[in-house]
Amino acid sequence: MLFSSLIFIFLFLTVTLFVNNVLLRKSLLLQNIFLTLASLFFYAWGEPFNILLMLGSIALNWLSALWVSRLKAKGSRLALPVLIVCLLLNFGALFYFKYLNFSLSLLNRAFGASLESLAVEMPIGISFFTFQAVSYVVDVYRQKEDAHKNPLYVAFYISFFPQLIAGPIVRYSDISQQIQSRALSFDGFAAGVKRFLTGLARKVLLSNVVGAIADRAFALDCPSPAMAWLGAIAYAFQIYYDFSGYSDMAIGLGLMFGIRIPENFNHPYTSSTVKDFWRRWHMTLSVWFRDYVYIPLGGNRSPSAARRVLNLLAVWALTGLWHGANMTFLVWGLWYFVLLSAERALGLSNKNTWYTHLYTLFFVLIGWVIFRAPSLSAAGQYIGAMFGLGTPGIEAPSVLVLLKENWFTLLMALLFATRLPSSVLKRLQEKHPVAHEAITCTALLLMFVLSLAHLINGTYNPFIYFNF
Amino acid sequence: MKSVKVIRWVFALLFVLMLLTGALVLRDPSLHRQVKNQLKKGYPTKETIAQIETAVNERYVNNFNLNIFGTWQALLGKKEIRNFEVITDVDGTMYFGNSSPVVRYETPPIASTMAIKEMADSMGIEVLFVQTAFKDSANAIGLEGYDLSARPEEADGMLAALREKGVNVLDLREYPQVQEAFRTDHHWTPRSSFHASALIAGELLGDDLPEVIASPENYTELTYPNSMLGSLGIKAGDIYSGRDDFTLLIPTFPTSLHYEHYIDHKLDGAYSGDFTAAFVDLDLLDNPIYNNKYNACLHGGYAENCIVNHLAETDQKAMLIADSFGRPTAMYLSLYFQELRYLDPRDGRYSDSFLAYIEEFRPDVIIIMYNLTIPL
Repeated sequence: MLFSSLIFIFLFLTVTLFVNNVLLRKSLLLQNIFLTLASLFFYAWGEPFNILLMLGSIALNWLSALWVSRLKAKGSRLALPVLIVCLLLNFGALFYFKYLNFSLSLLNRAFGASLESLAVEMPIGISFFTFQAVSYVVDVYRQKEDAHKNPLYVAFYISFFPQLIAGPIVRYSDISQQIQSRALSFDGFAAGVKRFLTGLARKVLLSNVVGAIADRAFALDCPSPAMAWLGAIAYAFQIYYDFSGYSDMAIGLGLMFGIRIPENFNHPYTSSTVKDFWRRWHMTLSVWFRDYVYIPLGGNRSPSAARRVLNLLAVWALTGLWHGANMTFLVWGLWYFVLLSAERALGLSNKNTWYTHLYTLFFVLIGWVIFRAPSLSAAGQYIGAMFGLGTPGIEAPSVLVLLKENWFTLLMALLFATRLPSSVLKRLQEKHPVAHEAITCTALLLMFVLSLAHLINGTYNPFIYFNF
Repeated sequence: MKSVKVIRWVFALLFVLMLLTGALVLRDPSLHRQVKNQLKKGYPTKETIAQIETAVNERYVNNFNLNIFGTWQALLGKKEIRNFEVITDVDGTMYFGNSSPVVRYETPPIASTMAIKEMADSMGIEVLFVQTAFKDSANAIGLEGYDLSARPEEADGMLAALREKGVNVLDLREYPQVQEAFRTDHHWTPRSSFHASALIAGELLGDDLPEVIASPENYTELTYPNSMLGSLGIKAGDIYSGRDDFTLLIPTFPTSLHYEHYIDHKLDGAYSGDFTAAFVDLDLLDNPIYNNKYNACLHGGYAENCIVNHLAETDQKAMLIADSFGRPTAMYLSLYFQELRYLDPRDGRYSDSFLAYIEEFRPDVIIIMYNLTIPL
C-alpha cells in the first residue's frame, strides 16, 4: 500500500487514526497491539504471501536477541556465534530474495556457466526491515539495549508501518522508550499532519512530474546534450523529492501516532562537499553503515591508512549494493568511495567554497546517471551524450517544450531544494507567528487538495526506493 | 499563542474532515459487492488486491475532482496533460500525444485484410478498404516540438501495400468534408461520418447512389450545444477542456429501421422505428451529467451491431468492420443497404471468427475501416 494512494489516505489512515487516537487513546498497550496488527495488515496488503517472511523476521530476531542477551549475561562465549547465526539468517534471506539471481548472472559471465535464474520476487522493503532487525540484535549483543521478553515490542519496532517499507531506518534506541511510554498530543498530531502533507506534495506534485521528464530523456537511445542534462537534473530532483517526500510522510505519520522518527534528509543539494552530501542524504543509512560496518571494521582508528581505505571501500561497495542488485549500483557506491578518498587526500572534505559546492553538485549528478541507468554501458552512453558524444535523433517533445510545460514545477523543485523557503518561513514564524501558521496551514491544505486531484487523475506511482 | 492554536485546530479539523469525507466510499454497496467478489476467489493475491484498489480509486473519479486537476493545469498554462497523453493546441483542439516514445511498425498489418479479401473474392463479395480521416494533427496550431500520435506515414504505407495487392482503397483523408472532429474527443463528428458514409456508398454503388440519402439538404440538425466532453477532454475536466456541441443529422425523409446489439451472441438491446428511435439514445443526450455524447450513436453499441432497413431501395447486404469510428458511420451507411452488420474487431468487442461470420452472413460488400490486425 503506498502512502500516496487513495486507499491509504482515505481508508487505512482514517480507520487507523480513529481507532488508535480516539477509541484506544487511554490504553498504550492496546495502541501498541493495534498498531502492530495494522502494520502487519499494511505489509500484507502489498505482500500477501511474504507477510510470512516479515513474521519470520520478527520471530527470529526477537528470539535471537533474547538468547544473545541471556548468554551475554552469563558471560558465555556462545553469544557471538548465536549472533552470527542470526545475522547469517537475516542476510541470507536478503541475499536469496535480492542478490541470488544477480550472483548467478555474475557467475555465468565470469565462468561461462549457464546457471538458470530462479523465479524469486523481492519482498517490498526487505532491505529496510532487515537492517532494522539486525541493528536491534547487534545493539542487544553490544548491551546498548535490553532484549524484550515481550515479542510485541520487537514486532512493533520492526513492522511499524510508517517506516516499514522505505525507511527512515530506525534504530531501536530511537523508538524503544516511545513504544513503552508516549502520549498523544494535539500539537504532535498537527505537526504530523503538516509533515505528512508536505511529503505528499513533494512526492505527487514535484517528484512524479519531474520524473516523467527523466523517464523521457533516459528512454532515448542518444539524447542531445541539452536533453541529457535536463534528464539528469530532473532525475536528481525526482529521486530527492520521491525519497525525502516519503521520509516526510513517514515522519509525519509517526508524529500523528505520537512517535518521533529520525530525520533522513537535510537539504542535500546544498552540500559543500561530497562528505557533507552524505551527512545530509539518507542520513539513517549512513549512520547504520557507520555503526554496524565501518566502526566494527576499525573505522578511523584502523592501524594503517591502507586498512582505513579498505574499510571505506567495503562500506561504499555495500552501500551501493544495498540499493540494488546491479553493477550500476556497485559502481555508484564505488564512485563515492573514489570521490570521498580524493576529497580526503586533497584536504577538501571540510571546505565550504563555491567551487566545492559546484563540483559536489556535478559529481552527485553524474552519480545519479549511473544510479538510474539500466546498465553500465547505458550509463556510459548517457554520460557521453551529456558531453556531446553520439548522434542524437529527433526529439519530440523537444527540450524547449519540456521546459515550457514544466517550468513552474522545475522552479519549485529548485527552490525547495535550497534552504531559502525554510529560512524565510523560520523568520516569519519568529516575527509573525499567527501569519506564519495561517499561511503554512492554508498552503498545506491547498497542496493536499491538489495532490489528491493529481492522484485521482493519475495512475500507479510507486516510490523509487520501494524496490530496496 | 491562542490564535496560533486556533488556526492549528481548524487545520487539523479540516484535514480530518477531508479524510472522513473520503472514507464515505465505504458506504457504497456496489463497492462491497466488488470486494466480496474478489475475496470469494480465495486468499487474496497481488492481482486481487490491485483489483480492489482499482475499485476504490474509481469511486473518487468525478467531474469535480477532475476539474480541480484541470484548473491547476490551466493556471500553469499547460498545453500537455498527464505526461503528454493529451495535447491542446492554441485553438483549444485536443489531440492524443505520445506519453512514451512509440514503436512504429516496420511492416503494415495487412495480412488479415488480405485474408478477408481472399475469402471475399472466392465468394464474389466486393471489398473496399476505407482509410478513416483520423484527427489530423497537421492542423494543430502552435504545437511545434510536441509529439502527436497521428501517424499518417504509417497509413500511407498500409494503403500503398493494399493497392499493390489489388485492394480497392478509399482514402477519406483526401476529403475535407470528413475532417471535422470534436475538439475534446479523438473521434470525427457525426456530420463527418455522414459524409464518409456517402463517399463509401458512392464508391460502392456508383451511379446507383440514392441522392436523397447522400444529400445533407435532406437532413435536419439536432444539436446539443456545449454538451460533449470527449475522451481527451475528460482527462482534465471541462474547465480546462471546454465542451463541444454535439450535432446529429436526422433524415427528414421517411425511415424505418430495426437495430439489434449483440454481445457474445447474446442480445443486449433492440430498437425499432425511424432513424432517431432506432439509433439515437435521447436519454443520454438529455442527461447533463453524461459527458461522452458520442455514445448516443447506436445506443453505444460496441460489439456486434445488426441493422435492417425496411425502406432500402436495394436488397444488398453490407458488412462494416471498424472501430468506434464506425458507430455513427453505421447509422448513415445502413440507409443505403437492406441490411448492415457492423463488427468491432478490438479486444473485448466482437471476439469470434470474422471469416466464419462472413461465410454465414454472406454480405454483398465488405467495408474494412480498420488499420490494425483483425482477428480472423
